[in-house]
Amino acid sequence: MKINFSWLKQPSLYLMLVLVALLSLFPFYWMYVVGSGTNATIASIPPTVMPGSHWTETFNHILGTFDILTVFRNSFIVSITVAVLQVFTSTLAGFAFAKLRFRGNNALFGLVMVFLMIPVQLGIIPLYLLMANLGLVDTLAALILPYVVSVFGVFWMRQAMVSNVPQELIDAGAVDGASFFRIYRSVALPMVRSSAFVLALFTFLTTWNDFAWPLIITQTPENFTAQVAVSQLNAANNPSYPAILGGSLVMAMPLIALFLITARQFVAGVMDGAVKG
Amino acid sequence: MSTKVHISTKHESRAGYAFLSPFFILFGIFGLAPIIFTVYVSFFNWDLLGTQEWVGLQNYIELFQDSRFYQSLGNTISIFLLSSVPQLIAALLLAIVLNSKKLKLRTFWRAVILFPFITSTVAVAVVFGAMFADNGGMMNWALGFLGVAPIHWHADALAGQIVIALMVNWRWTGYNTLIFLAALQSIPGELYEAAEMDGASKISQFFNITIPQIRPTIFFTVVTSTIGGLQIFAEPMQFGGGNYSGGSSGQFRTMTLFLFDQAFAQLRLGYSSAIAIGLFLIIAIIAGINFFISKKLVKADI
Repeated sequence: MKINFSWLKQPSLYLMLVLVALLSLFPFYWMYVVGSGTNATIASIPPTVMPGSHWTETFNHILGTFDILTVFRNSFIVSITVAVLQVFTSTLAGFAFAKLRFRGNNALFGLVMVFLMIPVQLGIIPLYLLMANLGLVDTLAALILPYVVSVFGVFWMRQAMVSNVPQELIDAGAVDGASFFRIYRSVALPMVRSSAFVLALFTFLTTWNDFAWPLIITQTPENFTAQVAVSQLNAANNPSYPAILGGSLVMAMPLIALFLITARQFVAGVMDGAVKG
Repeated sequence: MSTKVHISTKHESRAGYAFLSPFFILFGIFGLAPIIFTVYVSFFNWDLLGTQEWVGLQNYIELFQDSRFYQSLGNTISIFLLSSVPQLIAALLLAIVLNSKKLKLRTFWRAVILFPFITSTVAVAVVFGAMFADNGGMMNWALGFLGVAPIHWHADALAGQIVIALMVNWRWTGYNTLIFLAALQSIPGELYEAAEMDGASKISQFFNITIPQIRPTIFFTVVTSTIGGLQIFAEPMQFGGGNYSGGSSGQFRTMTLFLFDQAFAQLRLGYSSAIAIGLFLIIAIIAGINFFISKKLVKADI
């Protein structure tokens, strides 16, 4: 009876997964279809499902609205800097919380757990005023500074240090007279490489896709990030749908590439985080 | 934990504080201080051009009398429920499917369902806005086959909120599926084997083993989708044509959209700070209720 049951279940199971996969991928394909079509493609009845041949026009339209290379460069600079700095500050704090003995360690970590619950995004108005006072409005620095540290990152790296770095190695290093920074860098850090990589990946992704803050803090096209640029296409008075959808696809290309390369680590990272969280 | 000799020296303490200081100092400046300063700004008539006039509770009084506040609060909660409830149920069911022992191409399916997660909310909103166009959109065309009259997705309140919820669902269901999958995999197999021997049905196993075992994960996903869902911004903004209005009559204007409109379109920083504090309190209350319920449930379990 049991064998019969699962035999019947399998095909419908795959059918369901195929359906879910199509739903997941279709919007990307459709961005491509509309992007390669004309302004009429989007509203054609029945819907167009085959790609057109107008990529050049679409590309020219996008280039007329903003400079793709500048926008990419900005998003890359900001996302990579944020990822690197966040991994550095998070591994450093995570190392201290997990492996060093000092008064107040537990109390301070309790504070971090409280911070985890605070929606800091709601402080956006004073943050704007702060950047205005520092003269940083409309600079890439303003896009980086608020994200140099991450509460989640500290939490995540502390867990990784606890489960991957034996205390004996830290103590042995200390007995040998190595500085604690040296122990952090040469002993602890290499042992949490994979967790740190996952944190970097996620930070890069969220920074690349961040929208609200870059939207208000950047003003001139030279400082636009990919998301702000796409929203500019959407807000234009005379919308070109191929440019909007094609532009969205072009702006997502670096992330799509990154995802395809690191899919395995990415999936593992999400699932790992779930158990730890 | 360690049974080794304690080498707790002044040196070690100093290193501990030094390594924590970048995090605490920077989080203080860019995370905590702005939140606290928001309270201060909310007592002022404050615009970006230089006016700073103390008005006491005036902003809050105005907020409680502002119909847009109640409308945006209702919209936010409506979109939040339309997105998080179906999304978490779908994610759990999908996770059970993906957890099947005989499933082929495991990593492939996992990667495919996670794919929407890497898309920016801006791109998602743009694509969905086009698919759900009021005139000549793909969805209305498809619904036509089922005999449904064209729906005014952008003009109608509930329809618009459903589309915005769909955007959120599309982006987040796969992510939550993997979170649930990880939880399912940590349930000891013996529990199911024992239930199987007792002749328990699959449905009964689901409610008596699976759900209680993954309760902490359910709590985690509910909390994260609450905090995220109540701050929804990019989707309604792009769906409304790239401005802060949230539709022709504010029918899908969310709290965060309202906050941005007052701050960066009307330049009323004091008033928008009052909105931020209001939203902060609502999030805190809902998170508190979540926490209370889950604590009760965990206790009842023991």
